[in-house]
Amino acid sequence: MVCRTGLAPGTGQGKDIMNSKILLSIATIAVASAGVGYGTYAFFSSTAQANDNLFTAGSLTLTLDGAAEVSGKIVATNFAPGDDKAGSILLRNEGTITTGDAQNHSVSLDLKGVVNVTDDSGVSGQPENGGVSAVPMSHYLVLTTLDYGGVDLLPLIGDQDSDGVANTLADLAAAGAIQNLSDPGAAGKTLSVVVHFAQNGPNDLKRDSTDIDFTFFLRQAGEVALQ
Amino acid sequence: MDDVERGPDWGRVVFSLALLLVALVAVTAGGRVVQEAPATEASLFGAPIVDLRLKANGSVSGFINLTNAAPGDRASGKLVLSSRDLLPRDVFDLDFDVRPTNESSRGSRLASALVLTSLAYGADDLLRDPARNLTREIDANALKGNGDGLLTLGELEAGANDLPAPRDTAHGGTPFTIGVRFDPTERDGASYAGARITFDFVFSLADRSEPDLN
Repeated sequence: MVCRTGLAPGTGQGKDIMNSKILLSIATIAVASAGVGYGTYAFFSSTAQANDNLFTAGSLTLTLDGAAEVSGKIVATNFAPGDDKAGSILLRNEGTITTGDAQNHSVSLDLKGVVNVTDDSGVSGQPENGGVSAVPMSHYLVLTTLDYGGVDLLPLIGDQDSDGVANTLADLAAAGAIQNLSDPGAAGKTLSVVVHFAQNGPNDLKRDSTDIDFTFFLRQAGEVALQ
Repeated sequence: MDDVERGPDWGRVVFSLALLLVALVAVTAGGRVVQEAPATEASLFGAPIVDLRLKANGSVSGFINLTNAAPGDRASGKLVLSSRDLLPRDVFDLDFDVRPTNESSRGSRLASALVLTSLAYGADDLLRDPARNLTREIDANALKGNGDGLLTLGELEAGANDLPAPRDTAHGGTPFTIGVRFDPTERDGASYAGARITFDFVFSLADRSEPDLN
């Protein structure tokens, strides 16, 4: 019989070769198995992204006649009893947060008038000439119009100081802030003011002066109102 | 005995190949991964198709947005995560990361004012679940959190790791929901003027043996 391996079966050399082949096969299987295991189980991953989630802050920007601050909008010089003086200011919300916007925000406006009286002695708040007149000029300057975007604000003032004359600048100052007016919006709303010098103004008001500062507070709903 | 020229022992070759094939099948069947879907060419050896998918009611991109925001405003978003194949949860896990992009000069300030009101993945309340309290974990992290007891979107950059793999698509996946609120106590509106920031939410589904996403 001719052995293809050229070795007689059962010889020691033949067994060694057989063992070597078996070991080689096992090693091959082990390597292949490891490769399959690696490819099958380890380090698989998948990543997914949700991008472009945008967050932006809005803005509230109140302007008065296009500016953050104005002065001298109602100026009455050489004012005498019986005279009237009118003035107006255009209020606009130039921010992005407005009442009824896409996010359904709610915006309100408060306004407050602070009156400063100076008599001809040059001393603010002092009675005329050492006490001749104890009634400041603001009690004789009567608001005949105080309108905000078509809303008459005079009923909100009344006779605060109970001096028998309603809607004077003194009453406006005593009333404190007028709260929760509507958002002027981008189109804006006009505050119209007409001041009348009462005809019963006494002589000791001559050369006196009064100025009133209006403060406007535009706020988002939930913010504490101007007091 | 005469020496004869050696030739291939085809019987042994065929035997070895058969043994190899049997071994391969044995390894596949006995491995950790079980695939329920019908075998495809890509899953010849039974490996799952690890393919993470995101779905939203609208666009996945921008699934949560808050524009023209004012203090007190809220926003929420929902994604449904799913893997194409059912994955064993002891083998695979999910990491997520939140990465700010396209940030304006005041963007980080805005991100710090966007307080998380909810953050949930499946049944896990990631904000309040004691086992995975991200508020505690992240807010206490000196690198990311400020320790104020609130978790903000800005602080969520730390992300979260080792969440369970989502359910497969055939079973509806696993929802991921998030809610934020512009801190209602903020008063300094000017400091947010023009503030803008975008976030990318990155989800990674991987073998647990892989390093965490963050």
